[in-house]
Amino acid sequence: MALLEIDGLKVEFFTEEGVVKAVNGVNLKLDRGESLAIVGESGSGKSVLALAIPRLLPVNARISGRILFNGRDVLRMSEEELRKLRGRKIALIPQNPGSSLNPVLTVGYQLKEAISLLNGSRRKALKDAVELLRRLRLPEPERFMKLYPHMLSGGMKQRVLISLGIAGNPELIVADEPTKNLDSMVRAEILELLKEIGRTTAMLFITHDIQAAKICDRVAVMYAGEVVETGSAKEVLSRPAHPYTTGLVSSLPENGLIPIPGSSPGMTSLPEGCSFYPRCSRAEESCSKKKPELRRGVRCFYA
Amino acid sequence: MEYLLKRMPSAVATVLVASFLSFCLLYFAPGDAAYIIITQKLDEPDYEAIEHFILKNRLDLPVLEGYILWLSMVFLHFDFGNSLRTGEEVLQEFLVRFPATLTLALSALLFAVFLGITLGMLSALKSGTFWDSIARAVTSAGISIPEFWLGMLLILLFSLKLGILPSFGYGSVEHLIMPTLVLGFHLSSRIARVTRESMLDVMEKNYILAARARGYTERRVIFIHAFRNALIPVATLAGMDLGHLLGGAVIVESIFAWPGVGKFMVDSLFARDFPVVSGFIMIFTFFFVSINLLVDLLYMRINPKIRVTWHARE
Amino acid sequence: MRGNKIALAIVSAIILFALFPDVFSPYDPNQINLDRALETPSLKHLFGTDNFGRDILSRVIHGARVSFFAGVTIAGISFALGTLLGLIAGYYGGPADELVMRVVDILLAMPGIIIALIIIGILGPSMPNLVVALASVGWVKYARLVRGSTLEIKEEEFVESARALGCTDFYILYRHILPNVISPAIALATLDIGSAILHIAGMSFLGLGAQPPTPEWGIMLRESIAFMETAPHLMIFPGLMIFVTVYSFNALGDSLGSRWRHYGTLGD
Repeated sequence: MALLEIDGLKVEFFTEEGVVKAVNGVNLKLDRGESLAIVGESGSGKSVLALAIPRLLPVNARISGRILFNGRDVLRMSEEELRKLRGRKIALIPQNPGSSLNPVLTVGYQLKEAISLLNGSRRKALKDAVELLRRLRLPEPERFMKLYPHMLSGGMKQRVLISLGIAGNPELIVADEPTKNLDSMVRAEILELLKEIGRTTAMLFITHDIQAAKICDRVAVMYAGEVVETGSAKEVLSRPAHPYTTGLVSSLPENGLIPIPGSSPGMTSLPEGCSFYPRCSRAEESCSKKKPELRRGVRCFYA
Repeated sequence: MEYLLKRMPSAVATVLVASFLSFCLLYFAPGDAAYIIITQKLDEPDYEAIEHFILKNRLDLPVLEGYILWLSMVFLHFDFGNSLRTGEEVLQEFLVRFPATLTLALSALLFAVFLGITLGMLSALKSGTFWDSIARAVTSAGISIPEFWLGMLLILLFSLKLGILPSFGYGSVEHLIMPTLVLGFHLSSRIARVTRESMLDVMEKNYILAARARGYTERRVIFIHAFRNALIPVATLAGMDLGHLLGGAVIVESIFAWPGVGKFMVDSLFARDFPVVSGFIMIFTFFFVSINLLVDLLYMRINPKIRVTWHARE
Repeated sequence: MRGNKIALAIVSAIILFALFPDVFSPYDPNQINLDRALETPSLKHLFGTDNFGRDILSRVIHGARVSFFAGVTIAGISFALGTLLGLIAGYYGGPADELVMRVVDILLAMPGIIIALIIIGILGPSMPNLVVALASVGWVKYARLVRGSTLEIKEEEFVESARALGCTDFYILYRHILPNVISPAIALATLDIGSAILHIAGMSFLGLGAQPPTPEWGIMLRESIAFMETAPHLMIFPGLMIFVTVYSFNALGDSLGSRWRHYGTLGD
């Protein structure tokens, strides 16, 4: 049985401007110990997907479909059951380390809190916290714990956030854009760390950077709320099938920085037919009339 | 600490300005103070006595000289002169009455903080519901109601009609209840409003989502993660509002005949006892500035962020 | 919001009372009539009469004039002075800014009532002096607010381009900066009227502002103390008026404040 199985997930937001279809029918499967990268640009729905799994979406969201974790549908669980899952079984590492750490509590407090509440070991909490910091290659752990978040650099904050995520020894880690806004050296280090963590724990790695996806076993590319291509990381990165993925790969610096023309659709007005149609170089008239299904890992008529 | 040193100059400047204004009050007081006081005492003007009085209180020197002289008396000898009514030293009169005012102010502050934060949290956590509307109506009333009227209403109800609380005087807990309520109500409403806004703001923050994502109980998220952050602006308000509190004390003391500094000062103002008024203003400002400085230092302690940004700015 | 309609209605009523007190007052507020003293509210005297037999309703209505005009004057002077100084401090920076902020700091460091007491002490207790006293402390919050907004707007591009086009400083301040910083100041002014009315009543209550026989709410309350037990209606109505008036101004100020917050500071 797969650890995580997402079946026909749709997430809509009710806003003043209308209904926003952030996630429009996503199917995914993740096995124990496997790591899957979800790649997409802003507005593709990837972060919404990430937040949906531990059901941490805002109140104006309407979710339909199924999210099976160890066979049980998360969307049908009670609040109390969910709370027990969070942190201990499913750990979300939120975006934006700058604002995701409580500014008035020391790093040490936040870590010890997580360890003692999620791991059940109050007495060993201090020791475990130091261990954790060491594992994440943070310097002088004992001193470090006394610091407040605003005293840390971006990379350090991200590491603290990650350590808070793994403190509970979760079965699934959902990392939401962990390398956004980090400079390239720090980014490489964080990616290393994540790769290592991904070896033992199942990980869902949300990112806009298709290159970063190489640290994972598999990749799913999202566009306008749908998965448009999936496959092994090696395959997708070296031989992309969907025009969008191809575009993403070509837009990398080493491939010439060729941008994809146009911009992603506003989520309130999704077109009929293929959502990538307006920007696709391989498109035919028929693409705009009917929506392609996901077949053999690609959602395109012409792949 | 360096912070203290940085703030000293402006603090000293404030005290000096206050002292100058106080002295001006003494010097430029309307009506011929000497004449009036002596005449009141003796029923007819005794010019010799008036002369003597003027000299004794140094009211004959030009402004600046008088000021310097007065300043030196104040800072070197702590001599603010004597009350024209009681003959006692001004400083004495102040010190005798200060505990009463301090008691009232502190008790009102405590009351305001407890009631305010409670109401504010209630309002924020039950935002949009019936309780929220009630709490907000109460706080709006709190900032609009005139303190003296509230005091009078309470006296009417509890002292005159029900007879369970004394309407004036000093000495026991019962005496303290109504003045505290009256003085504290206004501040508690302001605190409640700020608490509510702040809490609502904090609950939307990313670190609250992060805490929830770790499966912490909602109780923990609210009281350990959110509350402390929400309290920061409240602490700022409470610290800054000392002035309002002490100002309101003047009125409250008058209504409840609370033997504090404020009441004496107002009475003295009417009796043209200007040494008292100006002396009290001076002492008062001095205390006030010191307390503000202390509060600021305290504030820097509890809010780690401010400490760092202040150092960073240097 | 329904509540605000009520507040608006009340404020309008107060303004009407202030402008045309004689129209709304059934009696002369100062007319003494000793054989009708201390009457409880009745059809003839809706709010009853006071210890001199004066009709309380009429006195309360005339009181609206006193309080309203004084309150508006205080808020107006504070607004004008504070906005001006705030603009100058924010826009020109440097020594002008330093000076203004020093004064602001000193004024803030002393409790307002103290300064008011000093000024009243020197000038003597009367309504005009009270207005001066309260206005000399009141401008401070406007200065801070406007200075802050000015500092922000100063950096915006349209200001730079205006300067590049050769517009004079005055023009820039008047046409570009002022319209953008003024909305929160106006909201503050509305709240301030309420707070000024409260202070006026308070100081007059102590005897440091309006003097009898002026029909002012604070004075009326002071005079009612002696009759608290025998004739409570003397103190209920003036106090109620203060409360309702200030409440309404505050409600209005609040809603103006939140409405303009939605629009942001950069106009539409």
